[in-house]
Amino acid sequence: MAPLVTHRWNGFCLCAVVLTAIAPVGIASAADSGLSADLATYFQPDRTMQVLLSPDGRYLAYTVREDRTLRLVIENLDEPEQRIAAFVETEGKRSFFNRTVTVPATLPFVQWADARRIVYLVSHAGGERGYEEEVRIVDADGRNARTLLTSNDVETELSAPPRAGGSDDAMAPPSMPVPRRMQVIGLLGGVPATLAVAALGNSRVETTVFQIELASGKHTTGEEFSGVGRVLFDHAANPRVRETPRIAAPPPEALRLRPPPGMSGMPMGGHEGPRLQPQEFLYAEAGHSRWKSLDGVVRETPPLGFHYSDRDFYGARSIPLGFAEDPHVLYFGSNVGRDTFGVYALDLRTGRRTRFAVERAGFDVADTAAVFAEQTLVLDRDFRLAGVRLAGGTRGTEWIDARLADWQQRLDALMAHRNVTILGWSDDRSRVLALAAGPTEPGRYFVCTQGTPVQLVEVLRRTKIDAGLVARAEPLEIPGADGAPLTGVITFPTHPLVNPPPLVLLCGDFAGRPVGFNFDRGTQALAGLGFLVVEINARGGGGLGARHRDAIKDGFDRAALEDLRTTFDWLGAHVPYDRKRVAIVGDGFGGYVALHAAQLYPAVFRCAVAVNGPADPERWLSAAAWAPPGASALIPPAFAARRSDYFAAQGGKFAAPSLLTNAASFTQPLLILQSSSAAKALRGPDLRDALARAGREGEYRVIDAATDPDAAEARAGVYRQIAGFLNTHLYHFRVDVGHEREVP
Amino acid sequence: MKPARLAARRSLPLVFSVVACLATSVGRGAPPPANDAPIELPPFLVEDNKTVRPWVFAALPGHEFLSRCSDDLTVDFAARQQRLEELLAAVLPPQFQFHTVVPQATILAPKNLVSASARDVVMDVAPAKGAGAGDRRAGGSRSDDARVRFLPNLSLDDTDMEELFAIFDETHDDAANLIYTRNRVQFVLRRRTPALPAWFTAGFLRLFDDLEFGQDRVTLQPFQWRSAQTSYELRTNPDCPRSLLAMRDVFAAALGDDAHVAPEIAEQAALLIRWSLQDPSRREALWKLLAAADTEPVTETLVERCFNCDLTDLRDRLSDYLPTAVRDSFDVVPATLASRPALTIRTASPAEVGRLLGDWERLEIRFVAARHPEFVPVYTSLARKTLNEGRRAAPDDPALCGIMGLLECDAKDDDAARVFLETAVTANVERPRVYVELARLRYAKALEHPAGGDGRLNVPQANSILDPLSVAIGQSPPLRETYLITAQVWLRTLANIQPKNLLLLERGVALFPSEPRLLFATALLEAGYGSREKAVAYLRRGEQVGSTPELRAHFAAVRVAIEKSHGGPIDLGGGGESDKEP
Repeated sequence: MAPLVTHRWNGFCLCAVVLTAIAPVGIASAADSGLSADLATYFQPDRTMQVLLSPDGRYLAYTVREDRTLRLVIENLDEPEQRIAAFVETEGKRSFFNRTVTVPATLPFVQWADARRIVYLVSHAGGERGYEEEVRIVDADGRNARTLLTSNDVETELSAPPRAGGSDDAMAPPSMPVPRRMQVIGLLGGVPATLAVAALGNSRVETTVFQIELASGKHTTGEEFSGVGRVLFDHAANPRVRETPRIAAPPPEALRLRPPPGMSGMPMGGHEGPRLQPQEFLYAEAGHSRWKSLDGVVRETPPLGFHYSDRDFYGARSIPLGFAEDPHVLYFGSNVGRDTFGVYALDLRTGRRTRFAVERAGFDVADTAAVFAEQTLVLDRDFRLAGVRLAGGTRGTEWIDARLADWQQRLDALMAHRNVTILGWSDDRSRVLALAAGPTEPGRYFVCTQGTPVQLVEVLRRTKIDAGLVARAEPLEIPGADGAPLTGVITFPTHPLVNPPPLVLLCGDFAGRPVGFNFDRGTQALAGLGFLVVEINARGGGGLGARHRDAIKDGFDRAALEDLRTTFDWLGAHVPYDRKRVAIVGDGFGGYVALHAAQLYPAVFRCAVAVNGPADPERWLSAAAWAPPGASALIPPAFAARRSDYFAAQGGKFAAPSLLTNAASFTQPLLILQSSSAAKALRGPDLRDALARAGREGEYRVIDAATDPDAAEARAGVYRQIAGFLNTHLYHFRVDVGHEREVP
Repeated sequence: MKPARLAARRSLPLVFSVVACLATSVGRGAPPPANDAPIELPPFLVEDNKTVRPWVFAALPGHEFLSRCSDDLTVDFAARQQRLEELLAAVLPPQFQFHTVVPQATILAPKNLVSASARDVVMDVAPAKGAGAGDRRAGGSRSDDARVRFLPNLSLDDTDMEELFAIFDETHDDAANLIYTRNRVQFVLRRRTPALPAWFTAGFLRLFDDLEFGQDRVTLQPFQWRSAQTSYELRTNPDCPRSLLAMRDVFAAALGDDAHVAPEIAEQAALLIRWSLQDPSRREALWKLLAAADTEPVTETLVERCFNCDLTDLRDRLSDYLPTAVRDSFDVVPATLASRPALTIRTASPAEVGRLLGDWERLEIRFVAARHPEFVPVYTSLARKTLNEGRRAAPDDPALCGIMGLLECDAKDDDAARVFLETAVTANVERPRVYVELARLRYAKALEHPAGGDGRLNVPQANSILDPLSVAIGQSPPLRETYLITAQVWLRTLANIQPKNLLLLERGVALFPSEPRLLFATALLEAGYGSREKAVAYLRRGEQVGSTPELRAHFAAVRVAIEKSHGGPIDLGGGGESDKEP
């Protein structure tokens, strides 16, 4: 399931565009020459993914990716000069159809086994199956490094289906080796120093749970079960909840090919293609691998709705999250009977909700797309629930552990304007590991030790973006047109070229993640170029509840344009900016809004930029949207299908004017950026041609020409194009501003 | 003609040790030396036949020079001092330095001026101290003679001025290469009014070791963070963990003595100052913040206004700057540098010698009193002699009269002092302490015969005290006694104090936020005639800055009484004891 977060206007969105395909074409215009040469700095990827504090608080383990090398480093906090790179891996090569692609090594799992040993799963490219996975363990001082489980250990065999009518044994095809990917379930509860790892099967191959004794390295196989779809285990490694797949597998008789080298090795489908199907959650009691519908277990009214399809994805439903120490209590996210998603608990024995509830009126506590998001539940080392991570708002944590709640309070006070996330703690709670991030900070890790004052040791930075490059950003809260406050973020230019500075207004995509709480690379890049940047959570956006998102049902663009006007009115009264230098930039649905706003209000906007914005919304939706290269045309990506179904369900009310029919009404310069795979559905070339016929100024560029191994540079390239365009048309405008007028 | 220099000259540290200025603190100065410790005394000038060169006088804006060194050296010294001031101003603007209307006087003396005979004179007239001078006069041991040493360079100060004394060996010393000492910078920081935030003073002094004052620039050498080892690690590994305090904790160290600021706060403040100095816009931001800190606490809002980032961002920026700070040096170059001063050197008049040298010798008395009180009489005699010689030539010189008045104040001879001070005040001398001392004497006299009844002063009495204070308020530096005496007079006067009058004390409290007596008196006046909210705020601050638990408790008790009064009569309890000054 493709997460929705990839489809919004900002660095994440462009990341999705660029990472799949992509390099900018036709970049450097004359206007670019004056831009910052360090634009790529803003887009450098996170260098630190996992950071863990040992149970006694003495050691820190973290992964660092730099120069295409992944390292797992262990550091003695009392003697920081003693750093040990327990694991170093450079990226590997892997063939993919006729191409060789570079695949970085990853550490999908890292955890302290105890106070002195760390256990991890490493995955890297290479070998006949195209990848190798190993579970390893190493002491904190770098000694006693051992491999506990390899891809070879979890490989299984699959017999070919018998020939029709029987045949001679000698002619029977040999059984086929089938590799299986590993999923670390975690350390087992109630069993000393034992790690559970699932070797994932599919409809033809069983999933097997391996139990590894960390002391001896011996492994045994435990639970085995068949079926496709993601599985949620309890802390005894029992498979308890399964999500049925969105795409139905081909029938067994289609199986006839051994996968080519470089593929994952899964059996390939034959003549009958895959098809979409509704998804549901199945439940099995501990120790029993008999699956039944989870909805069938629930005794609540209204039902909790542990099922969904693309069509009702944005409706009321529930998603399982995980288990804590009690295997009979399932934590889940739900918006059934309320506007926003909250986190609750279901007693599987009674089928009833418990009294546990973490919910907020203003935002979704749980990510609506994050099935089995066990990271939502913060467990201590005995699997007791210590807190619940809040997916929305300032991404805080609702602590149940009183001492951690106290830590949170102190750290929030010490690091105001940051979202401080306590990631780990020593068993005695005297020391915690915290991540401080926010709109003006990509993320810094601190080891905090009790004392007066609290000792804060900054141990790592998530990126190497220097704090001096980061522009000041402040949350916005404006009285909205519909009575509800309109929130967003305003980012001030670091070094304005003119005073007051030009304004760039950003429009987000439909159901995108709300802004204002995270570091936004794109926004910062624009602010670094001297622009005042404002982005609001206009109606239609995600994460702020169904009412906020569904406010656009009455008119595709009306609510968003209304919110834009409200924002302008407020800015005009409160923030100095150059009224003659205002640009609007949007992504996806926001791209359409940006172009339409420039069409309607030429007196307000000097120019507009649309990234993957549809020129003809009706056509856009009916085309089931764009798909990444190589994807089956029959199976649109989940986010595109859900959006299409969502708007299609609105019927006749959902009519938005096509920009193609009145191209002559565009009087301001436009920049249209589209990925080649989306161009047809978005009708970008058609808009370009229509503008040309009308004698209007419009630049059309394709932003995904070839694979670029350096994502940071590629993303910076896209922003260079935007910045170059804004630079030309905001700083050197030469056309008289027209009058506002109605456009049919 | 300028004589050829014969050898490489030494760079001299300009100046010097500083004596605490407050009368109350002089007595707490250095502990008396052990019997066998050297007896360090300020220069004692003895006119003898070998001294043939007369005193010469020269002046620059804000400076006066009295010299017996060569004209070349005098000019070199003046030029270097001017350049050092310009360089210091580049890293510490003048508005954040000590400022006075009294020109800074410098006495330049050749080495041979402080001759061996001075030691004889001092020892001859000094009272007996153990087996010292008394034995010698009886023909005994000369052990104390050998222990007496005259300090070569010294800076002494009063509440409203400072004066320098430098002895040069003209064959070896190079006045053109003078450098500032830590004490010198400490003085201009600590004596600035209103007091700089303690974190800034402590941070700047921590940074001072990295400053190199060149000919046309100040170079900041690589910073040392925590230790040489930690600095090395930061240089070689930018990911090296670093421990920085929340900026809120740094800026919280605003009141009180900078010497009591925790080392890690001082170090982080030094890092902030260094980071600010490295970039012109950040430098301006720091000065803006510092100027605002005169009247308001350093808050998140203020930091955002100045640095365009919040407190947490500021901490992060400093953290990111650390590897650069420990690795790189950089220069701060003043925007403009004055050309070498055209100094007019002429023979000093007796009045000028009396005023500058006599004032210096007056200051020496306080230095000696704090360390070797047995030598006070000889230094007092010397000062009186010098000043009287000046007065003989210019009996009506108001500045000389003012200094004579201050000398007698220091000598506790109030009657003698009053005559001189009245003369100086009548002539509108520019010397704030003269006005304050006269007010003090008038106040003491008025208290002997309060005419307002019930032990209070009447309006004429009060005005006679407040008049000279009103002049002192207009002169720099502001003196805390100005406001203290004003508050005390108002508390003891049957006059109608208007809230607008209290604005004066509000300014005083802003200038001296850590002065408990002023806080207390102002709080009482606010409670009686102005705003009780302000009174409570002042008392709360008193609870913060009070030096003893008893004092802090006293402030708290009065505050609680005011808060409980809810606008009605204030019950101070304790038989009225609580409203007495702490």
